[in-house]
Amino acid sequence: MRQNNIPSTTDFSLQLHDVNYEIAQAGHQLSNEDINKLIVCQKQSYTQFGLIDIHANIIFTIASKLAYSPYIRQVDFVDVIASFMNSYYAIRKYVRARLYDDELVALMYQHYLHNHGQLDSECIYQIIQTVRSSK
Amino acid sequence: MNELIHAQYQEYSFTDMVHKLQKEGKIDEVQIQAIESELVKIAHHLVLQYNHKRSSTISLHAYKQIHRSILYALDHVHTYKDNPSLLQANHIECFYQQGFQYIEKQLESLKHQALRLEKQALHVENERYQDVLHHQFFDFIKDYHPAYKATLCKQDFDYPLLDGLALDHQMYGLVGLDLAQEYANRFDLEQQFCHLYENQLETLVHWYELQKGISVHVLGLNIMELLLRQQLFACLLPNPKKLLLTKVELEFLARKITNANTFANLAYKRLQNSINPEMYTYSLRFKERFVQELQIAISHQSFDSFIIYEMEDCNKVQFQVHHAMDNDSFLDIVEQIEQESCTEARVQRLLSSKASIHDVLDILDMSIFNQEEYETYFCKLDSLTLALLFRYIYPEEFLFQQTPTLDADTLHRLESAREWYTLLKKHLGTLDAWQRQEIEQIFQSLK
Repeated sequence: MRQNNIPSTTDFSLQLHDVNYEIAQAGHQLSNEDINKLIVCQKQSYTQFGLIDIHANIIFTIASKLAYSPYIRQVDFVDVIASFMNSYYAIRKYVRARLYDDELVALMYQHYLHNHGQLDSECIYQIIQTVRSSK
Repeated sequence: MNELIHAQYQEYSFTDMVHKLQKEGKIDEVQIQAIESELVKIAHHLVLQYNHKRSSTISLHAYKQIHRSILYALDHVHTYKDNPSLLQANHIECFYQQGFQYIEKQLESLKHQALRLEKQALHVENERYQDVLHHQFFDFIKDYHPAYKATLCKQDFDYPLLDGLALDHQMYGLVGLDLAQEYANRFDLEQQFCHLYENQLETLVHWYELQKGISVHVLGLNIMELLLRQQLFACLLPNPKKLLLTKVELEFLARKITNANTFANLAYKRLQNSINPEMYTYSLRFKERFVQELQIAISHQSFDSFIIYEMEDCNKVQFQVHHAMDNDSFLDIVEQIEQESCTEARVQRLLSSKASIHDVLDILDMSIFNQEEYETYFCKLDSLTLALLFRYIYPEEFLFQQTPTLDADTLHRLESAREWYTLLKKHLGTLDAWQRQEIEQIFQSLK
């Protein structure tokens, strides 16, 4: 019996359509190939931190959030999503399910903006401390 | 011999059944993938439930435990095992719910069983027995979660049963609630057996301690084995229900038993008539070991190593292993001693207190006396009391029937876990040869 689950891209056509509609106004778009690449990155990231994510919704949550960032261009949009997602799982490892997915992404985005489009180790540490001390 | 008390559909797990049907060609790859998809759906639902719907991310460790818990629940469903054609994807969710409900009922049943066992606890001060009864069963129940941690069992269940520790039998090849239940069922059966001899148990344990020279408190001892062995020997006597044997009865048995197998078969045959079939079948787990013990006893004429009997009173000192004083009386004595100001008066208070040896040891450990008072106290003690003090603070010197001497080398070797031990050793070193000899003779009686 399988332990991991990698969702197929055909599952996300509707989500992709919705998120592209949302981010188009910021001048961004994601293709099926982008989603394929991000799903592979997602798996690498959560595996790196000893985690598992049962679906790929976080990709679209992050994409929607980052689309209006002043620090992103379309050429590096996918790479920034992948990097942000990696930080997301790094934080998730230590904060577990204390925050909803979108709440954590929102908190990360605040720190990301405050840090001029970077989420370095110190930033990640501060986010973890913020979440842990809040409950 | 390690048969489970309740086997119950242990032959095939869910995964085994799927593989078996695949081998027999009754299920194809498409159907297996459909079943896997259903399992994944259930797992996803449980992950969200585990995270209170806040996140879709979970640790890999927790996810694997959830996955194992799902399979564990499916392992406990009889429906598809009775009728394998029902093993289809669209029934998986239903089977899971059946399995989950079965486990919940089993957990509830274990709770009631644990409460009943605790209420019917035997009056034996054995640490492991008491720990399993009062803590381990309840800790297991508290920590157990059928949905997320169904295969976990952190408890060792280290009170050895009739056929030994669960660990020695690879925890019976069971996990989770099955393991706890199997152990509890065996424990229950043993406890029921021990209750048949409840009115003799305390005395028998006391005699055992006297004979072996050690308290049962920290021993890895099985209470049923203690009673069963004694019962098997008693089966050859006119009154088989009397387990408290005399030395005369011991000597009679030593003369009578000449063939281990013959006697063991006879004893078990007579035992079979006195206990219920389930208990009897369970007691057979001890038979092989019993025969080996008999062979040793016959060849070395050492029945007194196996049979517990009443040791003669003359020239034997009964030392107390139970506290004689309640807490309030004990504290009164301590207060009275502390209120006295001079050395003589304080020492006299202790001497006239009628405290048991355990209470005296506790008072000496409390450091309410200064060095001069300890020395004065020891000087006023007779040989018997000095021997008892020594016996209690150095029990290791009396193990396996040995008795120490009070020569300078022995006293020098002994450790001083407390300051007053040093003072006692110093005092013993100053005794004349005659008194030392007297104490060493008393040591012989204290075995």
